[in-house]
Amino acid sequence: MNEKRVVVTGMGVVSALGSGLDGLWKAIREERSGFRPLSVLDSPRCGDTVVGEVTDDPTEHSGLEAGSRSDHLAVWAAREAVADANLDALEDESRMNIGVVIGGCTGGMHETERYYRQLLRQGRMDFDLMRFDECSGPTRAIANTFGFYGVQTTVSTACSSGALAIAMAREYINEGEADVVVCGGVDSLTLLTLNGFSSLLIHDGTGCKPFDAHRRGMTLGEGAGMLVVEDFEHAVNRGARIYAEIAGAGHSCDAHHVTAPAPDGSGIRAAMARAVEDARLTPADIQYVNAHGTGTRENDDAEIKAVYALRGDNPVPLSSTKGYFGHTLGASGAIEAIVTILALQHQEAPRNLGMDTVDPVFPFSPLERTTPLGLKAALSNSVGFGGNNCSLVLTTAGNGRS
Amino acid sequence: MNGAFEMAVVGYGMMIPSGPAEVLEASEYLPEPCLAYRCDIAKGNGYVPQRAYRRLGRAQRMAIVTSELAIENIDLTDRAERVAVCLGTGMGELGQTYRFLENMIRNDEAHPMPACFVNSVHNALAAQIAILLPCKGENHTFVHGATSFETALWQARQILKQGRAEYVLACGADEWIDGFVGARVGLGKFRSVPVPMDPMGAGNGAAGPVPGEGSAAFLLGRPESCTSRFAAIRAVRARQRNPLNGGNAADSAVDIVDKTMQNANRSLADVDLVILGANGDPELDDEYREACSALNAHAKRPLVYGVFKHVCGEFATAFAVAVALAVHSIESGGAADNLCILEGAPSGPVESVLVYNRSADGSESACLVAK
Repeated sequence: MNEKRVVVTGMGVVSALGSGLDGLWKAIREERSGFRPLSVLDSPRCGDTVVGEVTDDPTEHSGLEAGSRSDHLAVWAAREAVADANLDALEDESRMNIGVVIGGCTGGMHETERYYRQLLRQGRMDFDLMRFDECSGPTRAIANTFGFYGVQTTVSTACSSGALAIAMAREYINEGEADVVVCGGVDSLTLLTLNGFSSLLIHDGTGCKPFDAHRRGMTLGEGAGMLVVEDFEHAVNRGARIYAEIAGAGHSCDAHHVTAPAPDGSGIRAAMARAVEDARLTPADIQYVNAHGTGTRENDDAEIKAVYALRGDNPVPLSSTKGYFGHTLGASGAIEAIVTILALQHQEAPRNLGMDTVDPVFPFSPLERTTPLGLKAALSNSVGFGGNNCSLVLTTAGNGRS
Repeated sequence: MNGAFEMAVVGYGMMIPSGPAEVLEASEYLPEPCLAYRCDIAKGNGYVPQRAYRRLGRAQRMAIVTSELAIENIDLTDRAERVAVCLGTGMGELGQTYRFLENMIRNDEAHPMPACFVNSVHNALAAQIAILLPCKGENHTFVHGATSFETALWQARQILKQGRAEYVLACGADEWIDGFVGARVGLGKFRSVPVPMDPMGAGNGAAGPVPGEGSAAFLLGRPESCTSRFAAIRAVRARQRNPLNGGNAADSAVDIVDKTMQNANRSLADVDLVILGANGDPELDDEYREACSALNAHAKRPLVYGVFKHVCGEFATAFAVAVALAVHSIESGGAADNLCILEGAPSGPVESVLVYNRSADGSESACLVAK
């Protein structure tokens, strides 16, 4: 168990709902979806599909001279988080020791696809397109942009990447490797992922319907969610605003199937239980669950069973927020952690957007409207391909472990 | 790492190219001919049921074979829930990713290949280890270039130290494909001159690294829980070089090695062998020479240095191979056969090996392996 308290002192987000925390929460309160027809990719097969696309050009907001689409999205969101946390006020030496831990799946794939398309169709090699192909690109882009030279790594565990990056950042702080870490997740829309999920017959090109009786799959999105996480004492000493505490983190691996979770939800349940135990709380203390809730039959089935098992006949309020901005893959764990923190801040749990009729086999229904709740502790779940599960316990400042 | 906490190496496995680098002719993927080191993955047949094995890509196969080798002397049947996996890979399953992409592009997205898509995710290697071995504890994948495996080791340490698992399988694996090599040659990261790699050698005019591939895996446990072990990983550190770490190779090498030895409660003067990640890049080779001089001065004696990338080539997780060679050296009491010792020889049995790497991507790492 981690002994230090780790808190969130800054956040930044870019998604299909636009950029900025205020815009994100406003859209959620207005129960507005960011889904729109695909335009950033030229897809002969998926051209009519609806996705959660970032419509503003990220190259105009990142300040980067060059980079992959993921690099630009990551730095764009990181700018808001760094400013939000007032990290510019830190002494030079402290700034240089800030760590960066980012999760992602696609890296520079957006540009790699263009490289291979030119190569295979025109015989032309534009090597500059491959300059930013690695998954670690966004991590390095953030570190180099802001001059953060502390611990640095990149996590890639499919859809749980962003959440695991946050958990990893917390571990670095607890181990004394850093006082402050910029962490989160990013992914951009690519033909690879669009065609890949479509080929598995789990992509709903009309807009996902998490936990709905007629759900047909996930809807891809893109974006970046960045958090500044900090040692509690360090934050207090410098007078930082504290949004929330990352009170617990739990990991598990289903080891069941490369794409589908264990159908009984045991893997997801294990991650949640470990997170709650790590936070030194009990399941009864959890007042809201931000579900992974992709809209696929397998994920939603397994996750509902897992959450129900957590509290039995007193089910915890639950919603998936992927109906607002889509499944942002490696960014999802981070963006949804941010949504959960905003819920704690505003004392409201978001509606499970996209669901018209709850699946009748479920023992309880996700939230059908935005719901005021006296929130002190919440869980944010992330479930990835390969059975990589991560749950985070987020609490209001002052209600974490002490 | 803060505080000494060692991980016992209970088992280990390694897969590296078994012959000289092969010549890749110029093609639609390669702008110029070049050399590359390739593993013979057919040698892994038999470690995994063939039906499962043939669905997997090269990097997955390498990772699974070395993982199977690492656990072959331990019965984990009833302990799968208590075995975690921490894996580092620079590029993941390049072959499967490219198969999906090429098919998608050539066929205008008709007739997609879902199996290749599933294998293309970076954590597919660790996921298959979890399913096939099996290992049902936590599962982590790090993809941060030349420090991917070092981060996996760091996470393994955290997991063992906190009692989150009884064992951790730490693995590094990377492969190459023509398109990847071609792009890197085009960007000047791999050289195209078909001259054998001669890290820190003299006289052959080598100019740059040669791409390679391979894998190494380690079953790690808490020393007090292990009845036997090959060696112990006492400390590992990784970072990006920055102005705070010293402005030159000598200062930064001494700094990171010093911190590593402090974490391990050991002295550099006690190290019997230093394995370097030098790869024939002339600038990096010069930096390694500066680093070696500084380390000798710091240890107050000439240390014995060895290089290894002339047998496996350059790839992001080659550090895992170096750690395996360190373990093998301790197991055998002498420098592993695959190492090329630059000068001198260990004065006695090899019981303490420092692995040191600095990369063109600005990263630097060190690891102490000891008896």
